[in-house]
Amino acid sequence: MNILTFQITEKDIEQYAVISGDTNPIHLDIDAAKQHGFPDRVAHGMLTISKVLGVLSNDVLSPYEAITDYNFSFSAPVFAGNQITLSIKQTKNSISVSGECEDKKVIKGFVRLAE
Amino acid sequence: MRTKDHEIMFSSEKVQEFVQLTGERNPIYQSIDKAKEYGFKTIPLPPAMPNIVYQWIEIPWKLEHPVILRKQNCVLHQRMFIGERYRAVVKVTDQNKRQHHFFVQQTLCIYNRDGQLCFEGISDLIAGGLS
Repeated sequence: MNILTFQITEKDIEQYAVISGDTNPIHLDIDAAKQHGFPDRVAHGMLTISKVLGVLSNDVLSPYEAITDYNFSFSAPVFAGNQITLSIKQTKNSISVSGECEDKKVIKGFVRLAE
Repeated sequence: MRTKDHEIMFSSEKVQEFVQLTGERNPIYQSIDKAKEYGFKTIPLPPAMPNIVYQWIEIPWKLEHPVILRKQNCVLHQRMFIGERYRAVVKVTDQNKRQHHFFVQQTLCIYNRDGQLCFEGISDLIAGGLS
C-alpha cells in the first residue's frame, strides 16, 4: 500500500472557483461557511477529487494509462489548509483510495483503468 | 428536468490551468508535441476536467445554498481532446427531500460530434433547496 499526501490551500480553492465557475460562497467566504455551520471555507468536492487524480497520475500511473471511471464519496468536508493523507492500494485494473485528514476519514473511492 | 444541449470545446490553455492547479506533471498535458510522443493525436483532457463544463451550461433549476457534493461517479467512455466540438447536457436524475435537506442527483453527459457518449458524470448533492 502506498501512502501519499497533498494539501488543499486557500489559493487552490480560489483558483478552482475561477476554472470551474463554482462560486458557491461556502467555498470562498469564511462568514458564509460559518453561517452554514462550517469552521472554515469548504474545498470544492471536485477540487479534492481532481487533486487525488493528480496524485495518482504523478505517482502511480504511467503517462499513457487511461482511467475509465472513478467513484468517490465524501464522509466529511475538506477545509482550506487541510493536508490529506491517501492510502492507495493498486490491483491489476483498479486503484482503491482512502483519504484522511487529522485522523478523520474524508474521502474514499476507486479508480478503474483501461485493460 | 434537463438542460438544453450546449456545444462546448476545451482549449490547451484551459488544460494548462487545470493541471497547474492539480499539480499533474504528466507530459501528455503539457503540449501537443508531447501528447503526440505518447501516441495521442493532440492533448487529451485530464479525467476530472470535463466536470468544469457546468459553468457553460444554462441550468433552468436552482440549487439553494449550501450545495455539498457527497458522491461523484464519472465514466470516461472515450478520451476527450482539446479543440474538438462536444455537446453537453445536464439532467436531474433523482431527487428527494429528507428533513430539511434536498438530495439531488445531477448527471452530466457529454457527446462527440457523432453523437457518441464520451463522458458521464453523476453527482450526488445535498442542497438547501431545489427550485
